[in-house]
Amino acid sequence: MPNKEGQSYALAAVTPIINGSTHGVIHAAELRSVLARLNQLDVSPFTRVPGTHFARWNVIDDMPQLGFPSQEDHLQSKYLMLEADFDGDRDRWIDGLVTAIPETITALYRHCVGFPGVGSMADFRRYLVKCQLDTTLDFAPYASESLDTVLRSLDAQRKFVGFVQAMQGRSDLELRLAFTDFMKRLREAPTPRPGEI
Amino acid sequence: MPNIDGKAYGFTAFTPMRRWKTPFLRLFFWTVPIISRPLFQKLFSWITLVRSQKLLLELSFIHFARWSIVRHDFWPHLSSAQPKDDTKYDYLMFCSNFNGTWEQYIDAFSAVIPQGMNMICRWSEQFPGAQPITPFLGYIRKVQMDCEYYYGAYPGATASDVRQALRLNGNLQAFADRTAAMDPTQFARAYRDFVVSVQNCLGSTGLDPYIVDWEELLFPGKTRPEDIAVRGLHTPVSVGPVTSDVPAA
Repeated sequence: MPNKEGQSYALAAVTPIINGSTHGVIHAAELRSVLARLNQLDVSPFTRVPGTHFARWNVIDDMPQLGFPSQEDHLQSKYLMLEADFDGDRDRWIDGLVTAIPETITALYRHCVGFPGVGSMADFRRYLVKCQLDTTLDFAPYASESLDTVLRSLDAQRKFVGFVQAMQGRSDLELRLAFTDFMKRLREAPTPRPGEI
Repeated sequence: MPNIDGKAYGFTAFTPMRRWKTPFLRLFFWTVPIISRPLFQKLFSWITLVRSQKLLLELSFIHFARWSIVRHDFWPHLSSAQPKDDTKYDYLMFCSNFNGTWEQYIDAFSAVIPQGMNMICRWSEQFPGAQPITPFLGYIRKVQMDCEYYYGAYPGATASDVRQALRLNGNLQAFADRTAAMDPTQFARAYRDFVVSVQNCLGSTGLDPYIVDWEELLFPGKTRPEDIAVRGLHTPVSVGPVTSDVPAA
Protein backbone atom coordinates (compact mmCIF):
# COMPACT_ATOMS: atom_id res chain seq x y z
CA MET A 1 0.00 0.00 0.00
CA PRO A 2 1.70 3.26 -1.11
CA ASN A 3 0.52 5.21 1.96
CA LYS A 4 2.65 2.91 4.07
CA GLU A 5 6.40 2.50 3.63
CA GLY A 6 8.22 0.33 6.15
CA GLN A 7 6.67 1.23 9.47
CA SER A 8 5.99 4.86 8.50
CA TYR A 9 2.73 6.22 7.15
CA ALA A 10 2.29 9.17 4.78
CA LEU A 11 -1.06 10.90 5.30
CA ALA A 12 -2.60 13.75 3.34
CA ALA A 13 -6.10 14.97 4.19
CA VAL A 14 -7.70 17.76 2.18
CA THR A 15 -10.70 19.31 3.94
CA PRO A 16 -12.90 22.01 2.39
CA ILE A 17 -12.93 25.38 4.16
CA ILE A 18 -16.32 27.02 4.68
CA ASN A 19 -16.88 29.64 1.99
CA GLY A 20 -17.50 33.22 3.05
CA SER A 21 -18.15 34.34 6.61
CA THR A 22 -20.25 33.51 9.66
CA HIS A 23 -21.11 36.31 12.13
CA GLY A 24 -18.52 38.52 10.47
CA VAL A 25 -15.72 35.93 10.73
CA ILE A 26 -14.23 35.14 7.33
CA HIS A 27 -13.37 31.46 7.72
CA ALA A 28 -10.35 31.22 5.43
CA ALA A 29 -8.82 34.40 6.87
CA GLU A 30 -9.40 33.32 10.47
CA LEU A 31 -7.95 29.88 9.76
CA ARG A 32 -4.84 31.51 8.28
CA SER A 33 -4.59 33.71 11.33
CA VAL A 34 -4.65 30.64 13.62
CA LEU A 35 -1.89 29.03 11.56
CA ALA A 36 0.14 32.24 11.72
CA ARG A 37 -0.20 32.24 15.50
CA LEU A 38 0.98 28.61 15.63
CA ASN A 39 4.14 29.75 13.88
CA GLN A 40 4.87 32.08 16.78
CA LEU A 41 4.95 29.27 19.34
CA ASP A 42 8.34 28.19 20.67
CA VAL A 43 7.19 24.58 20.89
CA SER A 44 5.12 23.07 18.10
CA PRO A 45 1.85 21.33 19.01
CA PHE A 46 3.03 18.37 16.89
CA THR A 47 5.73 17.62 19.49
CA ARG A 48 2.86 16.28 21.60
CA VAL A 49 1.50 13.97 18.89
CA PRO A 50 3.38 10.68 19.27
CA GLY A 51 5.51 9.42 16.40
CA THR A 52 5.29 12.52 14.17
CA HIS A 53 8.42 12.98 12.03
CA PHE A 54 7.17 15.79 9.77
CA ALA A 55 3.85 17.60 9.38
CA ARG A 56 2.48 20.62 7.56
CA TRP A 57 -0.68 22.52 6.84
CA ASN A 58 -1.24 24.18 3.47
CA VAL A 59 -4.18 26.34 2.50
CA ILE A 60 -5.08 25.61 -1.12
CA ASP A 61 -6.67 28.84 -2.36
CA ASP A 62 -6.85 27.74 -5.96
CA MET A 63 -4.95 25.59 -8.43
CA PRO A 64 -1.83 27.04 -10.10
CA GLN A 65 -2.60 28.84 -13.35
CA LEU A 66 0.02 28.33 -16.05
CA GLY A 67 -1.54 30.62 -18.64
CA PHE A 68 -2.04 30.08 -22.37
CA PRO A 69 -2.22 27.48 -23.94
CA SER A 70 -3.41 25.73 -20.74
CA GLN A 71 -7.00 26.27 -19.66
CA GLU A 72 -7.88 28.23 -16.57
CA ASP A 73 -8.83 25.81 -13.81
CA HIS A 74 -10.36 27.14 -10.60
CA LEU A 75 -11.64 25.70 -7.34
CA GLN A 76 -14.94 26.91 -5.92
CA SER A 77 -13.83 26.33 -2.32
CA LYS A 78 -10.53 26.73 -0.53
CA TYR A 79 -9.07 23.63 1.11
CA LEU A 80 -6.95 22.94 4.18
CA MET A 81 -4.40 20.20 3.54
CA LEU A 82 -2.80 18.34 6.43
CA GLU A 83 0.21 16.33 5.35
CA ALA A 84 2.23 14.22 7.78
CA ASP A 85 4.80 11.44 7.98
CA PHE A 86 4.56 9.43 11.18
CA ASP A 87 5.16 6.04 12.78
CA GLY A 88 2.74 3.18 12.61
CA ASP A 89 -0.96 3.17 12.15
CA ARG A 90 -3.01 5.99 10.57
CA ASP A 91 -6.03 5.68 12.85
CA ARG A 92 -3.93 5.69 16.00
CA TRP A 93 -2.09 8.83 14.84
CA ILE A 94 -5.35 10.67 14.11
CA ASP A 95 -6.62 9.65 17.56
CA GLY A 96 -3.34 11.04 18.92
CA LEU A 97 -4.12 14.40 17.28
CA VAL A 98 -7.46 14.56 19.06
CA THR A 99 -6.02 13.45 22.39
CA ALA A 100 -2.84 15.57 22.36
CA ILE A 101 -3.87 18.83 20.66
CA PRO A 102 -7.68 19.12 20.71
CA GLU A 103 -7.59 22.94 21.03
CA THR A 104 -5.40 23.34 17.95
CA ILE A 105 -7.53 20.92 15.94
CA THR A 106 -10.74 22.68 16.97
CA ALA A 107 -9.31 26.15 16.30
CA LEU A 108 -8.41 25.10 12.75
CA TYR A 109 -11.07 22.65 11.66
CA ARG A 110 -14.08 24.59 12.97
CA HIS A 111 -13.56 26.65 9.81
CA CYS A 112 -13.90 23.53 7.66
CA VAL A 113 -17.08 22.04 6.21
CA GLY A 114 -18.49 19.07 8.13
CA PHE A 115 -16.08 19.21 11.11
CA PRO A 116 -17.66 16.91 13.70
CA GLY A 117 -15.73 18.34 16.68
CA VAL A 118 -13.25 16.45 18.81
CA GLY A 119 -15.77 15.00 21.25
CA SER A 120 -15.62 11.65 19.50
CA MET A 121 -12.29 10.33 18.24
CA ALA A 122 -14.09 7.96 15.86
CA ASP A 123 -16.05 10.80 14.24
CA PHE A 124 -12.96 12.95 13.65
CA ARG A 125 -11.08 9.91 12.33
CA ARG A 126 -13.87 9.17 9.86
CA TYR A 127 -13.89 12.84 8.85
CA LEU A 128 -10.19 12.96 7.99
CA VAL A 129 -10.24 9.54 6.30
CA LYS A 130 -13.13 10.69 4.11
CA CYS A 131 -10.90 13.57 2.95
CA GLN A 132 -7.74 11.47 2.58
CA LEU A 133 -5.66 11.80 -0.56
CA ASP A 134 -3.86 8.52 -1.22
CA THR A 135 -0.15 8.48 -1.90
CA THR A 136 0.78 7.11 -5.30
CA LEU A 137 4.52 6.81 -4.67
CA ASP A 138 6.29 7.26 -1.36
CA PHE A 139 9.99 7.86 -0.80
CA ALA A 140 11.26 7.43 2.75
CA PRO A 141 14.91 6.39 3.07
CA TYR A 142 14.70 5.54 6.77
CA ALA A 143 11.07 4.48 6.90
CA SER A 144 11.87 1.40 8.97
CA GLU A 145 13.05 3.51 11.93
CA SER A 146 10.68 4.93 14.52
CA LEU A 147 10.88 8.51 15.76
CA ASP A 148 12.22 7.32 19.12
CA THR A 149 15.01 5.39 17.39
CA VAL A 150 15.92 8.41 15.27
CA LEU A 151 15.98 10.77 18.26
CA ARG A 152 17.98 8.35 20.41
CA SER A 153 20.44 7.78 17.57
CA LEU A 154 20.96 11.51 17.01
CA ASP A 155 21.45 11.95 20.74
CA ALA A 156 23.97 9.09 20.80
CA GLN A 157 25.80 10.60 17.83
CA ARG A 158 26.13 13.98 19.53
CA LYS A 159 27.33 12.46 22.77
CA PHE A 160 29.73 10.07 21.09
CA VAL A 161 31.35 12.91 19.12
CA GLY A 162 31.90 14.65 22.45
CA PHE A 163 33.27 11.44 23.95
CA VAL A 164 35.77 10.96 21.14
CA GLN A 165 36.98 14.54 21.53
CA ALA A 166 37.25 14.25 25.30
CA MET A 167 39.13 10.95 25.17
CA GLN A 168 42.01 12.07 22.98
CA GLY A 169 45.33 11.46 24.72
CA ARG A 170 43.86 9.47 27.61
CA SER A 171 45.47 6.28 28.90
CA ASP A 172 44.10 2.84 27.93
CA LEU A 173 42.72 2.29 31.42
CA GLU A 174 40.98 5.68 31.54
CA LEU A 175 39.51 5.02 28.11
CA ARG A 176 38.22 1.59 29.14
CA LEU A 177 36.55 2.88 32.30
CA ALA A 178 35.15 5.99 30.63
CA PHE A 179 33.64 4.01 27.74
CA THR A 180 31.88 1.59 30.08
CA ASP A 181 30.48 4.53 32.02
CA PHE A 182 29.53 6.35 28.79
CA MET A 183 27.55 3.38 27.45
CA LYS A 184 25.78 2.93 30.77
CA ARG A 185 24.71 6.59 30.77
CA LEU A 186 23.71 6.41 27.13
CA ARG A 187 21.43 3.41 27.70
CA GLU A 188 19.84 5.04 30.73
CA ALA A 189 19.41 8.47 29.12
CA PRO A 190 15.82 9.49 28.38
CA THR A 191 14.77 9.82 24.75
CA PRO A 192 15.17 13.48 23.68
CA ARG A 193 11.91 15.34 23.19
CA PRO A 194 10.80 15.96 19.59
CA GLY A 195 12.09 19.33 18.41
CA GLU A 196 15.01 19.26 20.86
CA ILE A 197 17.68 18.08 18.40
CA MET B 1 9.22 31.41 7.28
CA PRO B 2 6.66 28.60 7.32
CA ASN B 3 8.34 26.45 4.65
CA ILE B 4 11.36 26.05 6.91
CA ASP B 5 11.83 24.38 10.27
CA GLY B 6 15.48 24.37 11.29
CA LYS B 7 17.37 22.58 8.52
CA ALA B 8 14.26 21.11 6.90
CA TYR B 9 12.32 22.67 4.02
CA GLY B 10 8.75 21.64 3.28
CA PHE B 11 8.11 21.72 -0.45
CA THR B 12 4.61 21.34 -1.95
CA ALA B 13 3.69 21.54 -5.64
CA PHE B 14 0.65 20.78 -7.80
CA THR B 15 1.13 20.34 -11.54
CA PRO B 16 -1.86 20.03 -13.90
CA MET B 17 -2.17 17.05 -16.26
CA ARG B 18 -4.67 16.32 -19.00
CA ARG B 19 -6.94 13.58 -17.73
CA TRP B 20 -6.07 11.07 -20.44
CA LYS B 21 -2.40 11.17 -19.45
CA THR B 22 -2.99 10.16 -15.83
CA PRO B 23 -3.07 6.36 -16.44
CA PHE B 24 0.35 6.53 -18.10
CA LEU B 25 1.85 8.29 -15.08
CA ARG B 26 0.12 5.84 -12.75
CA LEU B 27 1.66 2.98 -14.73
CA PHE B 28 5.11 4.58 -14.45
CA PHE B 29 4.73 5.00 -10.67
CA TRP B 30 3.64 1.37 -10.46
CA THR B 31 6.91 0.28 -12.07
CA VAL B 32 9.18 2.35 -9.80
CA PRO B 33 9.28 -0.05 -6.81
CA ILE B 34 10.07 -2.89 -9.23
CA ILE B 35 12.80 -0.92 -11.00
CA SER B 36 14.30 0.05 -7.64
CA ARG B 37 14.92 -3.56 -6.58
CA PRO B 38 18.64 -4.39 -6.30
CA LEU B 39 18.53 -7.28 -8.79
CA PHE B 40 16.75 -5.16 -11.39
CA GLN B 41 19.27 -2.36 -10.82
CA LYS B 42 22.16 -4.78 -11.27
CA LEU B 43 20.82 -6.25 -14.50
CA PHE B 44 19.50 -3.12 -16.15
CA SER B 45 21.56 -0.23 -14.78
CA TRP B 46 22.71 0.49 -18.34
CA ILE B 47 19.21 1.85 -18.99
CA THR B 48 19.25 5.55 -18.09
CA LEU B 49 15.80 5.51 -16.56
CA VAL B 50 16.64 2.55 -14.33
CA ARG B 51 19.87 4.20 -13.24
CA SER B 52 18.04 7.40 -12.38
CA GLN B 53 15.90 5.44 -9.90
CA LYS B 54 19.04 4.43 -8.05
CA LEU B 55 20.29 8.01 -8.14
CA LEU B 56 17.00 9.20 -6.67
CA LEU B 57 17.51 6.88 -3.71
CA GLU B 58 21.00 8.27 -3.33
CA LEU B 59 19.84 11.89 -3.10
CA SER B 60 20.93 12.13 0.50
CA PHE B 61 19.14 15.34 1.43
CA ILE B 62 15.57 14.02 1.38
CA HIS B 63 13.89 12.89 4.62
CA PHE B 64 10.49 11.96 3.23
CA ALA B 65 8.87 12.67 -0.15
CA ARG B 66 5.73 11.56 -1.93
CA TRP B 67 3.76 11.90 -5.12
CA SER B 68 -0.03 11.73 -5.20
CA ILE B 69 -2.28 11.80 -8.23
CA VAL B 70 -5.22 14.10 -7.55
CA ARG B 71 -8.09 13.10 -9.79
CA HIS B 72 -10.29 15.88 -11.13
CA ASP B 73 -13.23 14.63 -9.03
CA PHE B 74 -11.23 13.93 -5.84
CA TRP B 75 -12.21 17.14 -4.02
CA PRO B 76 -14.26 16.17 -0.94
CA HIS B 77 -17.89 17.29 -1.01
CA LEU B 78 -19.19 17.20 2.55
CA SER B 79 -22.29 19.38 2.51
CA SER B 80 -25.01 20.33 0.07
CA ALA B 81 -24.21 23.96 0.88
CA GLN B 82 -20.66 23.47 -0.42
CA PRO B 83 -20.21 23.68 -4.21
CA LYS B 84 -18.83 20.46 -5.70
CA ASP B 85 -15.38 20.94 -7.22
CA ASP B 86 -14.50 19.08 -10.38
CA THR B 87 -11.34 20.47 -11.97
CA LYS B 88 -10.64 20.46 -15.69
CA TYR B 89 -7.29 18.78 -15.11
CA ASP B 90 -6.03 15.98 -12.92
CA TYR B 91 -3.09 17.11 -10.76
CA LEU B 92 0.17 15.61 -9.60
CA MET B 93 0.96 16.63 -6.04
CA PHE B 94 4.55 16.44 -4.85
CA CYS B 95 5.40 16.91 -1.17
CA SER B 96 8.95 16.73 0.08
CA ASN B 97 10.95 17.32 3.26
CA PHE B 98 14.54 18.10 2.41
CA ASN B 99 17.63 19.96 3.61
CA GLY B 100 19.27 22.92 1.97
CA THR B 101 17.95 25.84 0.02
CA TRP B 102 15.16 25.70 -2.52
CA GLU B 103 17.53 26.39 -5.44
CA GLN B 104 19.93 23.63 -4.33
CA TYR B 105 17.06 21.16 -4.21
CA ILE B 106 15.60 21.92 -7.62
CA ASP B 107 19.10 22.17 -9.05
CA ALA B 108 19.95 18.67 -7.75
CA PHE B 109 16.88 17.18 -9.42
CA SER B 110 17.82 18.89 -12.66
CA ALA B 111 21.50 17.93 -12.54
CA VAL B 112 21.38 14.41 -11.08
CA ILE B 113 18.15 12.81 -12.28
CA PRO B 114 16.87 14.85 -15.25
CA GLN B 115 15.56 11.70 -16.98
CA GLY B 116 13.64 10.62 -13.87
CA MET B 117 12.15 14.09 -13.47
CA ASN B 118 11.20 14.15 -17.13
CA MET B 119 9.46 10.78 -16.83
CA ILE B 120 7.42 12.00 -13.86
CA CYS B 121 6.65 15.53 -15.04
CA ARG B 122 6.45 15.11 -18.81
CA TRP B 123 2.72 14.37 -18.40
CA SER B 124 2.20 17.76 -16.79
CA GLU B 125 1.03 20.79 -18.75
CA GLN B 126 3.75 23.08 -20.11
CA PHE B 127 6.56 21.16 -18.38
CA PRO B 128 9.71 22.56 -20.00
CA GLY B 129 11.99 19.61 -19.12
CA ALA B 130 14.42 19.32 -16.21
CA GLN B 131 17.24 20.78 -18.30
CA PRO B 132 18.16 23.54 -18.93
CA ILE B 133 17.69 24.70 -15.37
CA THR B 134 16.28 28.23 -15.81
CA PRO B 135 12.90 27.34 -17.38
CA PHE B 136 12.65 24.40 -14.95
CA LEU B 137 13.10 26.74 -11.97
CA GLY B 138 10.52 29.12 -13.45
CA TYR B 139 8.03 26.28 -13.86
CA ILE B 140 8.48 25.06 -10.28
CA ARG B 141 7.98 28.61 -9.00
CA LYS B 142 4.61 28.69 -10.79
CA VAL B 143 3.33 25.41 -9.36
CA GLN B 144 4.69 25.55 -5.79
CA MET B 145 2.33 26.19 -2.85
CA ASP B 146 3.83 27.55 0.35
CA CYS B 147 3.18 25.87 3.67
CA GLU B 148 1.17 27.85 6.20
CA TYR B 149 2.69 25.78 8.98
CA TYR B 150 5.57 23.34 8.91
CA TYR B 151 7.04 21.07 11.56
CA GLY B 152 9.98 18.67 11.77
CA ALA B 153 10.74 16.58 14.86
CA TYR B 154 14.53 16.94 14.50
CA PRO B 155 15.08 20.41 13.02
CA GLY B 156 18.80 20.46 13.80
CA ALA B 157 19.53 17.28 11.84
CA THR B 158 19.87 16.77 8.10
CA ALA B 159 18.77 13.55 6.39
CA SER B 160 22.48 12.59 6.19
CA ASP B 161 22.84 13.21 9.93
CA VAL B 162 19.93 10.85 10.56
CA ARG B 163 21.30 8.09 8.35
CA GLN B 164 24.77 8.44 9.87
CA ALA B 165 23.39 8.51 13.42
CA LEU B 166 21.34 5.37 12.82
CA ARG B 167 24.38 3.60 11.43
CA LEU B 168 26.62 4.82 14.26
CA ASN B 169 24.14 3.86 16.96
CA GLY B 170 23.81 0.30 15.66
CA ASN B 171 27.57 -0.10 15.37
CA LEU B 172 28.20 1.49 18.76
CA GLN B 173 25.91 -0.94 20.57
CA ALA B 174 27.50 -3.89 18.74
CA PHE B 175 31.00 -2.59 19.53
CA ALA B 176 30.14 -2.21 23.22
CA ASP B 177 28.82 -5.78 23.38
CA ARG B 178 31.80 -7.16 21.47
CA THR B 179 34.40 -5.45 23.64
CA ALA B 180 32.73 -5.83 27.03
CA ALA B 181 35.24 -8.43 28.26
CA MET B 182 38.40 -6.92 26.73
CA ASP B 183 41.29 -5.69 28.87
CA PRO B 184 42.24 -1.98 28.57
CA THR B 185 45.04 -2.51 26.02
CA GLN B 186 42.95 -4.69 23.72
CA PHE B 187 40.03 -2.34 24.13
CA ALA B 188 42.05 0.79 23.29
CA ARG B 189 43.23 -0.84 20.03
CA ALA B 190 39.70 -1.94 19.13
CA TYR B 191 38.32 1.50 20.05
CA ARG B 192 40.74 3.30 17.74
CA ASP B 193 39.84 0.94 14.87
CA PHE B 194 36.18 1.50 15.62
CA VAL B 195 36.48 5.30 15.57
CA VAL B 196 38.24 5.13 12.22
CA SER B 197 35.54 2.82 10.83
CA VAL B 198 32.70 5.18 11.88
CA GLN B 199 34.43 8.49 11.22
CA ASN B 200 31.97 9.26 8.41
CA CYS B 201 29.17 9.09 10.96
CA LEU B 202 30.59 11.66 13.36
CA GLY B 203 28.82 14.72 12.01
CA SER B 204 27.35 17.40 14.22
CA THR B 205 23.74 18.49 14.45
CA GLY B 206 22.64 22.02 15.22
CA LEU B 207 21.59 25.31 13.73
CA ASP B 208 21.56 25.80 10.01
CA PRO B 209 24.02 28.55 9.10
CA TYR B 210 21.61 29.64 6.35
CA ILE B 211 19.05 30.67 8.94
CA VAL B 212 21.62 32.41 11.11
CA ASP B 213 22.72 34.36 8.04
CA TRP B 214 19.13 35.26 7.28
CA GLU B 215 18.70 36.62 10.78
CA GLU B 216 21.94 38.53 10.40
CA LEU B 217 20.46 40.45 7.49
CA LEU B 218 17.70 41.74 9.72
CA PHE B 219 19.71 42.25 12.89
CA PRO B 220 23.33 42.74 11.83
CA GLY B 221 25.78 41.89 14.57
CA LYS B 222 23.01 41.18 17.06
CA THR B 223 22.18 37.55 16.34
CA ARG B 224 22.92 34.81 18.77
CA PRO B 225 21.67 31.30 17.90
CA GLU B 226 19.89 31.04 21.24
CA ASP B 227 17.78 34.11 20.38
CA ILE B 228 16.29 32.66 17.26
CA ALA B 229 13.68 30.40 18.83
CA VAL B 230 12.28 33.39 20.70
CA ARG B 231 11.53 34.98 17.34
CA GLY B 232 9.33 32.00 16.54
CA LEU B 233 11.43 30.10 14.04
CA HIS B 234 11.10 26.90 16.04
CA THR B 235 14.79 26.25 15.87
CA PRO B 236 16.08 24.37 18.90
CA VAL B 237 17.84 26.40 21.53
CA SER B 238 19.57 23.39 23.03
CA VAL B 239 21.92 22.80 20.13
CA GLY B 240 24.94 24.40 21.70
CA PRO B 241 28.47 23.08 21.54
CA VAL B 242 29.11 19.35 21.44
CA THR B 243 28.68 17.87 24.86
CA SER B 244 29.93 14.69 26.40
CA ASP B 245 28.84 12.61 29.31
CA VAL B 246 32.48 12.19 30.27
CA PRO B 247 33.56 14.27 33.25
CA ALA B 248 36.57 16.53 32.68
CA ALA B 249 39.94 15.00 33.53
